[in-house]
Amino acid sequence: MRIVIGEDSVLFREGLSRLLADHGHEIVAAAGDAPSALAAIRSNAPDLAILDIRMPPDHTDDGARVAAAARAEFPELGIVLLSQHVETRHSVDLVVGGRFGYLLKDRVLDLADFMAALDRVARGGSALDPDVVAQLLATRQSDSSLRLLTPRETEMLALMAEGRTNVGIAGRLFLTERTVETHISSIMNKLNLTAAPNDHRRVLAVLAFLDGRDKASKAAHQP
Amino acid sequence: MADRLIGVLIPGDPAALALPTDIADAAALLIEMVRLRMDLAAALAEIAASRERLLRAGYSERRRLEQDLHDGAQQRLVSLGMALRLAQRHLHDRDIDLHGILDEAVAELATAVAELRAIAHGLRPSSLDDGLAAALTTLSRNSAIPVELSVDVGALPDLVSTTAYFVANEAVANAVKHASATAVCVSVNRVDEAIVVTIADDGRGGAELRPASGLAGLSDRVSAAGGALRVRSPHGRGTTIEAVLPCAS
Repeated sequence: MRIVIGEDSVLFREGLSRLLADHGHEIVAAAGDAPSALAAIRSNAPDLAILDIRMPPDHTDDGARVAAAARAEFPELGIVLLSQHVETRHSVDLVVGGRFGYLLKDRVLDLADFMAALDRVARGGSALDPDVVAQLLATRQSDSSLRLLTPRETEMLALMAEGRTNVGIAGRLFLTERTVETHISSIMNKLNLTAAPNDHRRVLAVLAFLDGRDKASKAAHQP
Repeated sequence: MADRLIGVLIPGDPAALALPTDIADAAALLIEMVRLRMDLAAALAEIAASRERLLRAGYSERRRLEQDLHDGAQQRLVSLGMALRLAQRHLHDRDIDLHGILDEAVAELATAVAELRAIAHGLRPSSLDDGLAAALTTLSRNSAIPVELSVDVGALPDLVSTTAYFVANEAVANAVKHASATAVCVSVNRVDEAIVVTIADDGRGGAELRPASGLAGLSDRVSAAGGALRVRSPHGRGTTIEAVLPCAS
């Protein structure tokens, strides 16, 4: 993949560039602040942009704003935001749009998982940090339909929310794809979610459920 | 009242020049009470304001710490992890400088440890465990300008020694940063039921207890410990900061 990195810490930027290059990716530009990251995306039209959320000039959500601008101009661009801390609201909104990833910085250290997440995002999927998913699950703990799930199914629901494919889930849990499929249709049934035609639709359905948006949208439709 | 002048009664009619003293006596108590009430209200308002300032100072301190941890040690440790992963991927590669990568990684680790130590030290220097004198000795050793130190107190309660330390720390830092001082004297003495911390520099003077300044924050901390902070800083003639902290002997 051709990748643009936007990250102000020189150490992190160089470490990440080395790792990505070592995995056969091409780093077409590595920028140290938000405006030059956006300029690098515009001039290089990469497959993927990896952006630190907190960057100069404002050191707030500069990376997220670059992501929004880049998304508007390049609908096909995969974007992964890296953050130092878990932030639910922002991250779910972004991931729902597709071709988006939101991960804690230290996920980089789990190389196989991190590289798989980058691939998934570049190919149109999503990647939501496990900690964000855990927070979503915790806030829905009281939901009655969530309590119908077995521990194994809850674990699988979390992996679906992270954006993983059946193959990915099977690999992670040392199960066959067939077993994963059976579990997933049981989960979808219990949660009253319609089986989705593709992976991204499935992520949307699961996140909408976890985030309580399914209820919100149903309520909105009532006269 | 009690031989103290608290007001003057001026008769409206010059004919009644000689006012009966019993009117003055009756009015005096009332006037004194109103005056005390006004003093009390002002003191309470100042306490409320200083509590808010302390709270704000605490929050902004937390924010600064969070940023220092995120931008410093945390980034460094993740980078270190990435370097180790890279090394791991090339364990059996002969054409990559594993030695160099590991050396770099250890150097990063040492820097991260140093950063964490600096942050922890800023929170509360561990040398305070060995007493105020030990903590101030460390402070003087790490200072950019010579510090003449004289500590003439024994063991102190934690509240007193910690507050005294932060007064000295801030004052010495100000002497270096703002006053362009070339030397500073720090002394700690017991005066009756109080500990007096005095920091005097030979810098440009002109320091003031302005609202929201570092000195004002220090003054709030000293007040919260039941003491008082005084600043003497004539232009061109150095700054002397004195904190009096109550401490039963």
